[in-house]
Amino acid sequence: MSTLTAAPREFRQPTLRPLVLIEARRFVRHPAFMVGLTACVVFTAMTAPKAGPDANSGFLAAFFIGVFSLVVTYRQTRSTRSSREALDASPTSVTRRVAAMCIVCLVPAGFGVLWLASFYVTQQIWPLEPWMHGSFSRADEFAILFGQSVVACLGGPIAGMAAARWLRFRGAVLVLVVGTVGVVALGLTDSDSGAPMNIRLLTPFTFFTSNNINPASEDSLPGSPWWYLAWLLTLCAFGVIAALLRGAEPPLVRQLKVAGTVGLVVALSCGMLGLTGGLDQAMRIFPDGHSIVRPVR
Amino acid sequence: MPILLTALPWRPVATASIAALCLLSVVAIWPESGFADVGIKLVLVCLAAAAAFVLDEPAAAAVDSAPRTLRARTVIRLIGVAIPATIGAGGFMAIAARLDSSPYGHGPFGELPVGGLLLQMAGCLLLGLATAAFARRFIPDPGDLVSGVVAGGLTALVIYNPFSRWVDIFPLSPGDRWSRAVVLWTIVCLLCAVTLTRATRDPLD
Repeated sequence: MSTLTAAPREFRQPTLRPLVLIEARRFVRHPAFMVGLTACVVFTAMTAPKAGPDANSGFLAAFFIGVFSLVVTYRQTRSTRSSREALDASPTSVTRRVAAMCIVCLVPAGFGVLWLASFYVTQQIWPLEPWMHGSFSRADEFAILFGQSVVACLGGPIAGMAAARWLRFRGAVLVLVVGTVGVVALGLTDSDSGAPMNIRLLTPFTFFTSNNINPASEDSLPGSPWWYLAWLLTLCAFGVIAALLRGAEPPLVRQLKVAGTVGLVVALSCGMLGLTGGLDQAMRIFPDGHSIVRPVR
Repeated sequence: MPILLTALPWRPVATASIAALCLLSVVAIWPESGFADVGIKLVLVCLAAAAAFVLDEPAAAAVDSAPRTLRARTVIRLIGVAIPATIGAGGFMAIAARLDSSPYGHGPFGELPVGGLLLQMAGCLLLGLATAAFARRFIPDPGDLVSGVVAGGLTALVIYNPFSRWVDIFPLSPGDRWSRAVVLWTIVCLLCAVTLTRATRDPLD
């Protein structure tokens, strides 16, 4: 009589590590990511000595790493669709594969961290005048830059992955990219010209300062940078939940729905606090240090 | 011809065109806002992406053996470009008309230069088409890839123009450097037309 023994743990439940390594390697080697990363490095290097770094430079990392990574994770997640039947027969569940992709999203976020570190290094070389920081403290400025670079580099690929799980029509990635850039641009629209200003703090990317060349001054825009950062992080969490929800096993679906509901409440709270906290009106700061409420045009 | 029209990938073309239409609608609602500037440029991106899908031919292996040249098939497929072109041209004219009658005067770019915009639109459509025609020599349905590349590249130029010292790639206001932009877009149109013509030659020609 033969004795059945339990399979070793590593055979019963494949670890995420090999999956993560394979997907991370595919991600880093993707031409779109390499082009985006190169463009980010080149353009950051081009702008730094010319104008000096400011709290608005984060758009380079957000677009060239974040948005390009969105395209990469979208295509990477979709690429497994053609071999779905074969993959379904493998011992790795869909949820684990998606979880592996979620971890891979930390790769562009890592590059966002590098961008942020390089920003502070260049700021040491080309320091800003004190008035150029606007009404924000150094801690606020860190929250702004962290949201614009690291969180944008994390959120972009998560959004691409979630979209690939849910959207099946061709051209979805185009709609996602143009929609994201369009919503951000709409949010940044000047409030004095009739467009809805409040959505600025509910979009996945925004500025908190704006430079005026003539006369030389710096505008600090309303809203709380820290609550806005929390809002961005809850959006990332939502993206992960949405990606995992598709095709998940029933017990996990219930847990994800509960997490999603809690996350929704937290996200709405952060969004509201971001809108109501911080400066309540835009301030204009001049080189001599005095500030005024920004005049309405 | 009806069979070829059935073979056109209408859905992705319609998706990109609808995205352009949505952006045009937002610009038409707030033509005086700062968004109008970026919105119009994003419309051009969507139109270029729509054009990139037109030459998709998943059944290329079968169709290639039919007694019809690649150029003839391409010419018929160009009918698909009519949708994004009509949406773009109609939208720009409608926004220009709305700006003319606006009580606030003109938008952030002054009077909307429809002629210049139509040239940019032609350049973007031809860019999408020519790139797709070139890529089709290697893959039968290059729409997804080419639309991503073209839309990504153009969006990057909308957001950050590294050549701003020399040329405004998407000029909108009368104060922009139009002369260089007109030269640029004319060259783009010509180059793309040549590429399109050469890429649609049959291999045995």
